[in-house]
Amino acid sequence: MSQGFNPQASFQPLSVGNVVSAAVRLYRSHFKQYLGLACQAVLWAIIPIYGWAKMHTIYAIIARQAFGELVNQPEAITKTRNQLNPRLWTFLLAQILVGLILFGVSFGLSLVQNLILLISGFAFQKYPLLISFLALILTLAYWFGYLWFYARMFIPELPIAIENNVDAAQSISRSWELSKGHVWRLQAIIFIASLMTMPLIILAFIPFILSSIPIMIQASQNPNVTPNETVWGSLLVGILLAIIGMMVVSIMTMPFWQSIKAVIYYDLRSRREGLGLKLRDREI
Amino acid sequence: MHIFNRVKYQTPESVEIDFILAGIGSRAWALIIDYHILVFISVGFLLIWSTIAEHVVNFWEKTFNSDKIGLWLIAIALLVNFFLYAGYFVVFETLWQGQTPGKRIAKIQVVRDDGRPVSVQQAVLRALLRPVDDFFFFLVGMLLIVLTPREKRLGDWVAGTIVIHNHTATARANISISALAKSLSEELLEIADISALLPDDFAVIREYLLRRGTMAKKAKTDLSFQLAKQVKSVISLQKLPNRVTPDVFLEAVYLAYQGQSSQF
Repeated sequence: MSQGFNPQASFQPLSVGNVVSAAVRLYRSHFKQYLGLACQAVLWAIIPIYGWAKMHTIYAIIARQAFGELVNQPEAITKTRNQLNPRLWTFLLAQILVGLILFGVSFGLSLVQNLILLISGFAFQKYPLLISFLALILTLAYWFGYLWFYARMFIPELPIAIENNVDAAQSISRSWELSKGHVWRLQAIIFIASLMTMPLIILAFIPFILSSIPIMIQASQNPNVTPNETVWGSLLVGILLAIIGMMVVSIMTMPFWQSIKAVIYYDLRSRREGLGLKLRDREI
Repeated sequence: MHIFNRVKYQTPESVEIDFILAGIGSRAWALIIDYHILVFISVGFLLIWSTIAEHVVNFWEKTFNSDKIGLWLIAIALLVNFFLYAGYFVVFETLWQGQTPGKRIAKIQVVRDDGRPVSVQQAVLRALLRPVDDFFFFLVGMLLIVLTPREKRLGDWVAGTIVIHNHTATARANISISALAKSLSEELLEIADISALLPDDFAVIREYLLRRGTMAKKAKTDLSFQLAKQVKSVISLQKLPNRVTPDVFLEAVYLAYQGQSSQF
């Protein structure tokens, strides 16, 4: 009976919660390795363009390593590097394309949202409650719509990293095609994973919040006095700590997200393409 | 690397029980659903309560010329809210054998360490320690679940419980089999060596037939062709009696395999 729960044994697709759990377990079992890669990625991010391409390549390296574990074919890190380094620019281009498309989607959605609000604002001038209710619904609809596109373009780096000869545009259509019919599952996965990383993000901002307390107190006690140097100093330290905190958080959470993407890719391929359904010798 | 965290437990009668722990993802998912339901319930309660309270306060002021009742009503509302919060988990986990609505959707359940169902005692302890586990945006409970081998948050330690995957067998969808495949399967038993198929191979064919409905068209065509080709060589079938699609062929093999085992 318990056999049915092991996807390697029976190729069962994973539930929403199990995708997240599997990603956590992957990350945990390769913690040092993934964390080291994530550190390199964040350092590369400082250098514009070439560094960003390197950063996205390292993201993809983590994802491919994780995928290798999932299909029981772990790959040496040097081999993954050699395979993926030539695809450097494809990774960056794919990310830029996704960014542009999502920007367009966001722009279009908010345009429609504001247009409806404007028209209804004129139409129902006398019912402010109705308009604020409508605004709430529209905001939810905006996020739902945006997340719909976000989910469908969530894993473009995986096809580039794992399949052969996939260019940037193809990678997005692969992600689009694989996620067809599974958007709500992906949205739920992204939602759960985001909530799980939330405490870390809040933790990173605590020094900043604490450091802004002196300036708040001073401003509330005597608003006319300009804040003195110590108050500004503490705020500056706070901002610096927040930046460092955010860098640490992104180093910590990025391998988690890449593991999640690898599990999603694995799961979608087994659902949509029957990955692993092969007689006797089972390979990717 | 195992995706799932399994634990083994030996009963005093030396029977070994195998559990698959729920995992942080399913537990977070269940909690998200449960807390949404709880917020919904408690907002509903507060709305009704405040409407009633308004009338009560007015009435009280007119009759007794005192406004002390308001504070009492707020205190009662807070108390009821706490009982709703704790009671939700206690009642559901006790009555539904360790499940809440969220856990049902996430397909997980709470059991005692030895696999017996939870009683009120365990459910209460888990519910009372929940605020501690939820401290700082669930960080305490989350870290404990991720880092401890048996995925126990504080409430689980104290109550002696674990959260596991629910073993209810998933309803198997029926495999639709065409009439053409039925007649072909009988022929296959005659002309091909179906017994060369291993149970593993059969499982793959069955899995394909179960899941083909949701597969992408092109991938499905490729996969069915590949599988049919492999099966054909395994059962040493030289030539098909008549031309059929890979899907029909696989359906026929599926039937034939079952028919063959029923003959023994």
